[in-house]
Amino acid sequence: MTQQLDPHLKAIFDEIVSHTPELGPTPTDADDLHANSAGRRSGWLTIAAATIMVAGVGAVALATTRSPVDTPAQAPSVTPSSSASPTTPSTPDAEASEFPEPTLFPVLEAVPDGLSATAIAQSTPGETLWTEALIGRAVDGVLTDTVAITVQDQPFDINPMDGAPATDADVFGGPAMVYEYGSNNGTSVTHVTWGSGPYFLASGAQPLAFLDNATADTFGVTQQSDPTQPPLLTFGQLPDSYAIVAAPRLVGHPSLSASLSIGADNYDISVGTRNPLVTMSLVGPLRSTDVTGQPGWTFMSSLPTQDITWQVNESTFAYLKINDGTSATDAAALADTITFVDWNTWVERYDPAITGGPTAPPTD
Amino acid sequence: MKPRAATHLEDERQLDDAWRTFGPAALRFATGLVGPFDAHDIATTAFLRATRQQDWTGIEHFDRYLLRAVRNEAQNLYRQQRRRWERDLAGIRPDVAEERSPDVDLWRAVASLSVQHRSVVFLAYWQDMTEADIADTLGVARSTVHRTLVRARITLRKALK
Repeated sequence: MTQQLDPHLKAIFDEIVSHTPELGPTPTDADDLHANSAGRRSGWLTIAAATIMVAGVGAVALATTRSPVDTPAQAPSVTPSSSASPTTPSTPDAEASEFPEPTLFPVLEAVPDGLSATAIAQSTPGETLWTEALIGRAVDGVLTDTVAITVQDQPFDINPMDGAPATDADVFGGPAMVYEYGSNNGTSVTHVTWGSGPYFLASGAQPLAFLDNATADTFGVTQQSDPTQPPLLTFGQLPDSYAIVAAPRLVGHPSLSASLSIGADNYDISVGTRNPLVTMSLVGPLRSTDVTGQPGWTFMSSLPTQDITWQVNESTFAYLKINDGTSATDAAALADTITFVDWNTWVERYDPAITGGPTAPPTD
Repeated sequence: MKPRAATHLEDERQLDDAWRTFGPAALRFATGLVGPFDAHDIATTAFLRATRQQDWTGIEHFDRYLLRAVRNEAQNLYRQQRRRWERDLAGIRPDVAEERSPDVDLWRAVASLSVQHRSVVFLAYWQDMTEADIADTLGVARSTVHRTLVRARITLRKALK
């Protein structure tokens, strides 16, 4: 690691470790453990936002190889049975899956001189399934007032930020909880949960304003015949000027994601089955763009990076992130040059590193 | 043959000794992986599962064994709570219209590392372990540690630019 990075990284870990909980008594029983930790947790709700960041998002846990005679026990997982267990890396055609996979993978023909392309494919284990969609106002190609809607058959587990308690609200005549999330620089996201099964979550800058203009008929759910599957989200009449920006999709299932990195830190082109627009909407206003004739979205505000997302086919969303200071115009031009091929062609061309458990063969 | 009560007391003493000896490092490692909110759960659950193994007192390098158990528990928790963490992170992203400090981006980059990557980076850059020691501690190949560090550096360097 460079000398430049090293002190920053040490400082961050110093800060993290400074929040290490007290050792406490010797743990002796699992039941006592969870009872005790519940009380302990409430005190940690006051931990600053930065430390919560450390809890982490991001890539799927990499596979690990363990010695059979020296393997710590795994805690029992409460993830659905559909979850893929971490295992030795395997090729994505190891076994079939009932879930959709990305079926097209990115190719960048015109790689700048001196840069190389590195391909990585990750098999993401499944987790609790949910349905998500994005509502917003699109006027003159600008997307604002977005509200991400999620529905699932389990209560949502949301931590109030900075120790501030959730506040009560009324949504469609029933009780709701409101969680305000501030940020270092003023950006805020509010989460509103309501329902008692199925459970709903609305997230955005001002989800209550949207909900105030919606009715109970705005949201609907369709229970699937398979009781292990989550309810599917449907929409009725939306408030004036709101439209469905990202149609409801079932996510959280085991899936494959793949990325092509150009250079050490120049471009990343990734594909997956989850629509990146839902998460992007929580960061800031978006504007439409055109990627080879397909509608795409990018951030309105100037960022150190250029981010563009678009849908490639029914099960494949693409996300281009450019880190090298390329202008928005050039980023759009670059996106136009990205082509897509099937899995076998992509593997033959890039010989990707593959991590995670087995997943389904991508098929057209 | 020892009386049953005496055996029980001896077991408790061994557990106490092990927790006082190895617990602090396990807690710090857990905090580095998942943050303080869940660290105690991770460390204590890992300790309980490790010490429920038959003849756990005979495990060679119990310190490393416990750290691997912590890593495994963190991976389980990651799967269960990833969505919550994603939302937490989304809520504290800096304003896109304002200039971001390198440290904020680096925090985000550290948060974006997988549990396995964060395990390796933490042991390398906070514990100052060598790649060989990390490989032994986490029970992975040295080449895996090396590759993980290379990839993590790429991710983290991006954040500083």
